Amino acid sequence: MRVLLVEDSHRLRETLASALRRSGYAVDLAADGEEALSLATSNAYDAIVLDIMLPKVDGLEVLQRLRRQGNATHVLLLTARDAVQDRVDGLQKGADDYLVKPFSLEELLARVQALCRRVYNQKEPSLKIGDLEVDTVGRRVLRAGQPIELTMREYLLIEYLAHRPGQIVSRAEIEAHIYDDQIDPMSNVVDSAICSLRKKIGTANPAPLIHTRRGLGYVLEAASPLVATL
Amino acid sequence: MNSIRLRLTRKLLLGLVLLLGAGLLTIYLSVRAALVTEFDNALWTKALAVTTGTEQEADRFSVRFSDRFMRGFDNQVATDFFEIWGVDGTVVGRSRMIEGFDLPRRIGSFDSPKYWNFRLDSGLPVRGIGFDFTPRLAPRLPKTTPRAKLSLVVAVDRHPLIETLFKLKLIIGGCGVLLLGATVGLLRPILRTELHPLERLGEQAARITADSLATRFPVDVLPTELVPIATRLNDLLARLQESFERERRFSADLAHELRTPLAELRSLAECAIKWPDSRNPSTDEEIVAIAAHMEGMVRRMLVLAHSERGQLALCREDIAIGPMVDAVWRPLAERAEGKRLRATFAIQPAAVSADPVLLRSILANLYDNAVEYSPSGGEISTVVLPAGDRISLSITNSVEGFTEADSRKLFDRFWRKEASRTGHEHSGLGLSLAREFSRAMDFELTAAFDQGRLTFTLVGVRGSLTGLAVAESQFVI
Repeated sequence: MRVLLVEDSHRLRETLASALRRSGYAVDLAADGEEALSLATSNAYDAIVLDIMLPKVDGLEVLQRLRRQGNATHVLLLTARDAVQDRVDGLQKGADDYLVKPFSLEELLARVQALCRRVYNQKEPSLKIGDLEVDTVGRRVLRAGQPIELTMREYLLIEYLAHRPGQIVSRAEIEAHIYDDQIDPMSNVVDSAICSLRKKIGTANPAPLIHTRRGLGYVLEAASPLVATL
Repeated sequence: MNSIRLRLTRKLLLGLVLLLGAGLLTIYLSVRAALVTEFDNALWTKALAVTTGTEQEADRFSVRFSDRFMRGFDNQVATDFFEIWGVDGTVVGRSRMIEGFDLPRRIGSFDSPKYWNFRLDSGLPVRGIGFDFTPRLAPRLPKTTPRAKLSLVVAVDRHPLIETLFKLKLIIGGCGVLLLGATVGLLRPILRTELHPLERLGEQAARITADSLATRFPVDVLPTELVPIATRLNDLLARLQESFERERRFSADLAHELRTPLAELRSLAECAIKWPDSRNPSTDEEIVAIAAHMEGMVRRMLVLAHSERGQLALCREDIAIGPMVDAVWRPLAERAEGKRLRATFAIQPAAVSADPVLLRSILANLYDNAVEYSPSGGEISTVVLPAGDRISLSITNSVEGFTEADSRKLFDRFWRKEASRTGHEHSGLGLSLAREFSRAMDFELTAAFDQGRLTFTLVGVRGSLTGLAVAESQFVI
């Protein structure tokens, strides 16, 4: 999942970015409203954590401009303003959630996760594809009831694919949502991760779950229609 | 109920009743007087007719009525009566209808007869006239015959006059009642219409709450008498709104100032607990820096609170202004050079009577702001001008993106041009403190913005250079 974090306080920005990254999110950072607008309009984020009092363009204005542009990315407002009217203002201007400073880090992470789940209309914290189960809260993966050891990247990859079962997910989408901008566009980091993932989830049950659509991307589903017809 | 409309209605009606009553009474009395005069003229004419018909004969007097005018004395009509007395009071003649009783005898002179109302024994209301007269001599008597003097009283039935006056009373009274009714009918809608702006003003004022201080009374449509009230109310509302907004902004700013470092602290701590490997020496340094920032802010707020309550202990002394400016500016000079700022000083040798700690704090804040917010390559100028027993110090610097409206908020606590609090170097309390320190010393600190240049002027009490070191007193930067 890729998250845009907009916060003008350097310390808070870096701390939250570190926490989000350690929780498995790809995080982009912005320190002011202009930078936030630029990033939000040029990238697809699963969620935006947006401070209200920002230099150059304030957070509510950023939110309004994004909504006017038709950008429906879920936004969590992060602010020191706790008056009811401030919350109402924020929500009426298109925010999806509101968190008042100081906040619990766990609460922030839970809310960001909930917003990301809403992107894929998923309400249950557990995703099931055939005998594969992805527990998004415990961040565990089970195949045929057996736990599978995965790296953080591999987990994020399977979770991202599991959010879109049966859909073709392109390499570019995977790169955008799982990896930071630093990866080399020419690298085969996605293919390598898919290959490694296939091996690990194939241990408990060799039936393939991740299918390649040549030139298009990958599909996670219990049985490939093409395989079924053969 | 203490209502202006009700009170106006009552008082206007009372005034109207009094005026109308007085007017109608005057009309009645005038008409009555005219009618009575006319009646008296007729009475006088009849009395004259009686005197004309009275003749003195040799040993008696005779009264003759010949024309129709005297028919009232006739028994059949019986509306007019007369009685004539001689000098000795003997009755020499009277109407037949008053045989058996006398008319009351009130006698005036011929030129000034007496008129009065009375009732006959029969109960008939009459008006009488009485005067002395000399009858004419019968033609056969010689001219030398001594002339007798007689007294005459003529009474005429007053019924026609009474009836006429009664009708007059009815007409005038009826007119009065009609006029009063019509006035009451007109007065209510007129008062309602004319007092409507006042009522509307009152209703509008009653609807104003802390959440609707942006309301303004429409002055253009109000009557002239209400314009000053509405204008003053609008001014008051504007000040209240500004005051409320300032307080709201202060609360929000204070919350932000405290909540953001708290959020930083909490996030750092929770991150270190959740991912112990994320903790490193820089984390602890960050926590110390946040704590120092919060401590500084609390300290400033306490000083500000003390200053606002007048609890600052002053130690006033004469201070040479030149060396003080030099001491404050010198530590900032390097930063100013880094931004290629040009500093100019025009300082006349003078002293100021001030607390050195507070004055240094004010100047340090003003110069720090000037260096911080002047654009690269800008200019900071200082002018000190003694004038009488006062001394003024002005610091002017160029600013960018600043507006006239901003200059009015400069001394608000936590106000900063940028609504966000990026960076922690400035808390937004410095200028509030500078102004409070100025007030504590009876100084005046003001800000003015003109054509891209912001000027702070500090005006204070001039001190004496006597006793200060020569080098200090003649110091000019």
